[in-house]
Amino acid sequence: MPLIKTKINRNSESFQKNYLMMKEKTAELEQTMQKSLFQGEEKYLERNKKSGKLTARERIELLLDQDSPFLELLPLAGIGGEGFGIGGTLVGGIGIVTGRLCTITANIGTIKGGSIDYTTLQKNLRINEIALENELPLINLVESAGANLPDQAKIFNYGGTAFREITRRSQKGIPTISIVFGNSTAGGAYVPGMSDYTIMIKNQAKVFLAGPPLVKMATNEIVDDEALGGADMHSRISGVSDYIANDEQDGIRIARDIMAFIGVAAKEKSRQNTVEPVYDPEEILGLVSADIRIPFDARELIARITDGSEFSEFKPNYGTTLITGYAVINGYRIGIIANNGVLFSEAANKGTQFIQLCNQNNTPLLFLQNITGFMVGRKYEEEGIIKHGANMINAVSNSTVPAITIIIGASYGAGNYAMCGRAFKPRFLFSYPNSKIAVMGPEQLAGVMEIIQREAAQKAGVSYDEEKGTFIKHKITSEADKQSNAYFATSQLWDDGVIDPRETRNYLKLCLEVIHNTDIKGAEGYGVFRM
Amino acid sequence: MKNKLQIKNELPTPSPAGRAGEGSIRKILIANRGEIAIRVMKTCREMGITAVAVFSDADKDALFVKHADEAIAIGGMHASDSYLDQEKIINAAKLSGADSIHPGYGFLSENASFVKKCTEADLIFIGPSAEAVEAMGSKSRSKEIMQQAGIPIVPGYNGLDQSIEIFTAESKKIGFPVLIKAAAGGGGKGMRIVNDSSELPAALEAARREAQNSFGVGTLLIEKYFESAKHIEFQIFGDHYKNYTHFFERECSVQRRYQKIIEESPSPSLTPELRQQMGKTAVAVAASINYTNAGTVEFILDAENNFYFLEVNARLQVEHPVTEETTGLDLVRLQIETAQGMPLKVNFQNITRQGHAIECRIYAEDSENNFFPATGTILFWNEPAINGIRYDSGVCSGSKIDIYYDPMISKIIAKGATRDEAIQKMQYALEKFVILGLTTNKNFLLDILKHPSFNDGMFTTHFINKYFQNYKDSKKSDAAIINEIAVVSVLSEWSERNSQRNFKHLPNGWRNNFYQKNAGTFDIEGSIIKAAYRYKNNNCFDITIGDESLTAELVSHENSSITCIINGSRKTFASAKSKEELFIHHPAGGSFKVKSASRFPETVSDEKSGGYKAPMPGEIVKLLVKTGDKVCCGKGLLIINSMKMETTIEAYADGIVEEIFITEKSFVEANTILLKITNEEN
Repeated sequence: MPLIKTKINRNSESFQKNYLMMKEKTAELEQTMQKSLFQGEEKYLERNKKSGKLTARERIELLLDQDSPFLELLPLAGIGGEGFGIGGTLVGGIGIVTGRLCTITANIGTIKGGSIDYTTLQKNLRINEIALENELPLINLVESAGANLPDQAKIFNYGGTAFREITRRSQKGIPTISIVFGNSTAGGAYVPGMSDYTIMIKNQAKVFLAGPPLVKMATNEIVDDEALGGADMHSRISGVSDYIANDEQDGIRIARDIMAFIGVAAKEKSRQNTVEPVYDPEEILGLVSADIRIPFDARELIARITDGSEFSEFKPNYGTTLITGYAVINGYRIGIIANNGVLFSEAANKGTQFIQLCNQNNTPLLFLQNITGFMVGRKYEEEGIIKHGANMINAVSNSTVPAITIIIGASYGAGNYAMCGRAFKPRFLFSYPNSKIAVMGPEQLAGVMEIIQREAAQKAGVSYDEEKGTFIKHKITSEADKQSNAYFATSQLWDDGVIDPRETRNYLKLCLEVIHNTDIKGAEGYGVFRM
Repeated sequence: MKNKLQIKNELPTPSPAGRAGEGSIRKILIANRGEIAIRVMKTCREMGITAVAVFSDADKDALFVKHADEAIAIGGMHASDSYLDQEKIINAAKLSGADSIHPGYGFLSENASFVKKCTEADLIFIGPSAEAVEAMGSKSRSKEIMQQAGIPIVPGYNGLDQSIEIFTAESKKIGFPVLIKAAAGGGGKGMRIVNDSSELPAALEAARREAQNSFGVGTLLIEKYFESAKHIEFQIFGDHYKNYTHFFERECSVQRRYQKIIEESPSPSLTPELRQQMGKTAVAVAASINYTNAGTVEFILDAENNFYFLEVNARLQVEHPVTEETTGLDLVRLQIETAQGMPLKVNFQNITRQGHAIECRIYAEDSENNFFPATGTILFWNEPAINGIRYDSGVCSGSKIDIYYDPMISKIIAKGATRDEAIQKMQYALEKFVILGLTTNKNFLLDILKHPSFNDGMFTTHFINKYFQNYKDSKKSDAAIINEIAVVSVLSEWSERNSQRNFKHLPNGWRNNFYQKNAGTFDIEGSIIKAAYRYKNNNCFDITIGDESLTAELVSHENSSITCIINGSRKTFASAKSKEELFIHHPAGGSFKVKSASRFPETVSDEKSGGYKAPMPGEIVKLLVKTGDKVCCGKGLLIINSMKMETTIEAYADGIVEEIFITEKSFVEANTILLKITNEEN
């Protein structure tokens, strides 16, 4: 495979300037990630520690194999929102337990008793989805007071999905293990209740449909919580618990024992030897434009994430604003589709053809999104750019090879769709901190709005209020800008995380391993149309 | 039969034993084990002589057995059933067709009856004559002989008159302090040091009582007590033609539990005149008993440079290598040649002694705990190849040290132009010498070598008692060394996991949202160390131990060594693993035993804390215990009949029946508490 010859000059002014700007963005990301580690106020953590309990993150670290990587998913979900803070009250991700890739969730019992806000629910559902799609066992580290009641209206209906998913996975032979560390009440009780294996920690786990106060209200029965739903009761009498653990470490040990037994050894995937890229990933900060209006050659990024910086480009001289081609990442073959400018009809056709090829040869896809949209204008409409765009969206929609999407710059308009945006269900979707996602750029949006306003004024025969117009334009621009930035997107769970561009290859290594957990089979039913 | 030993007259010159006329020895049976067996084999090989080993059941995998040209199994574990069993040894020699026996040291080396048996069996005994062995076998007889030959002996009284008067008079003659000993004794029993005559009556009474209790005989003797004395010995040699010589002295004053641990030649305390005088005396001793073959004359040298005959060791000594290294002789070859009837051509006058040699004995023992012998398996043994360093070892990696034999497993001999050079070289070699898995005195030896009193040569036989009481190995608690051991432990465990892990292609320990370092808790020779680490990349780590932050890079991890760069300093640590422990050799601190704490410590289930519940509903058919009964784990407590099945409830732990909540014939529901047993310790 040919080596991508870099054209980057590290000492150039533009590289240096961009590097510094991107460095600021990664620093901001790092600080934000730091904040996401918050697990409650000091006094709660202190109390937790005193009673011999671990924090959610400590539980995860102990559950994982030593030296296992851990890909935390959706760490910044809910950031800037009205819920319980960055990441909600749940930590979730993918790591290795007894040599097997697993999805893991852990309620943060030290924030609001681990009660579930809207973000937490969404995050949980997304992780459940990942577990199902990639056929990964899910281990729940449960300690939750249940739904946050003020949020109940937003939570209640979709909350059931989590329970449904447990049994749907079980039916497919994908196990769920729950370790109950504390409260798991009401709806929450169905998490251990429906898991394939349930472990309860002695003197800590409290699992019941209704706690003592509600029981008293409902039936006037007076009962303490240990008798009502303690680990001992559930392990001896109700059988809701399969294993009783002496303490948290013991519970985690039991879960690992179960995993070691049921976790079928990972299938050995045929893969090539892996070689690190030739170029320094640090340079990604100098080449990926901090300002999305400045174009950059996506090949330079590809050269810093593929094995040996090699890339076999498909149709390099046709539809040049879209780069397509094959590469190997961490030993796994992958088809890469990267924007290198506005999408024209030829580019869309090339993309469609390449997606079909990857389906034909069972190769997963990597989309690198930096797209301001399809080309507009009379010439292009006449060419049928809608038709060509539709073909590509069609190809993406019906592609059955797993895809990973990374938004490396702009993600505007139908470009987002054609390039496998969230709605097109890539197995994973990550954003760079410089990325923007919206129907169109804020300036365009405001400009379009202004034109419409002016036309409306003209029609109405009134004069356009310039001052008010400028004010509105500003407002729209800043609003749109705010709502299209990466943190807003990740807060809404439009992606699975904002990532440091330098770590792209590590993210891909993990995600590729995860997607290869399932059989990769391209869509059948059509041969390749030469577009 | 040989002539009887005549003390007064000149002893007869024994003819070369066995088949003297036929001359040469072709096949030697070595009636010994361990390092000395291998030492003898070395010379055999050089001389083209076939070496036959004998081995006990305990030694079936020993190094010396593998080293031998042939080896005969003699069974048994204890020495008395194997290496001390004369019949077995002689039979083995016959079986193998050996023409001679080399006894090594210890075991049968100074056993006159064995020497005779060899001769009777037509085997050449490579050592002194039975007569000489017998004459020197008894301390009191050898003293008598020497006294008559005009050799200075330790002043003392060893008479039948056991009255206080005579003891007082004799003590005054000898000069205080004196040492009271049990005549039949040994091992320090009945020994008393008396500083003046007023203490004598009480000391005699106590010693007599003790001697009576220990040996059944209350007879006592007294000897001059030396508060500061050195142990100097001379290597002697004699042939069958009345040629006697010495091969200079060895100083062996560094002793613990009356056993030598460091020997050297020349002695730092002898003037040329004194050496000449003592050498002459040693030769006179040899001549006085018509000594043949290799032997050693031991002297006490007091602070005033008076020397006294102590005893003759009628054998090749453990410490013979220091003589060999400084004289260039091969004493085993000389032994074999002499035994064949060849005349001794070398003597102290026609050889030159060069340089200085020191021998350190490596013992499997715990220097921090009264030098008690240690047993176990040597997981890794590596003698660094250094010019001028000689190893006489009986073990290698994988050797098992058990309780049956002497814990001396190896000798390391350093030669230098000067004493200082030899000491420095010895320190260097000992530090580099890797012994993992077995407790040894290596660090203790190093501490001795560094002691000023050892270095100035002024030490006496009291040296260790004086300076190393309650010895603690300071390296075992050296924080800097322990931290490095912790780092190596982290790297070793990491690397082992890494070689076995699934998903080798995934970035090791990678986090996209880093929360905390991975931590390991290690018990390093009793220090509990928590080391937290984070893998960076390219085998580089950030490690935190307590308040200290270190960087480490794993350069290589092979079977028995780990090379890493800790805070910029590159070091190689030998390492070995047993089932539960990791052993690491620190280049400056020696061997460290590391136990790694499990991430999931064992917990005691509440289940197991005394309450017994009915597993199912049923009838109590029979109670097998009553309140207050002591029960052990597995004891039947009661029988429940349920669904036509009789189930016996058994104790799951030892304890005492505290309370019984049910009676026979009663019906119980499932989970009814039946009885409670308390742990005795509670």
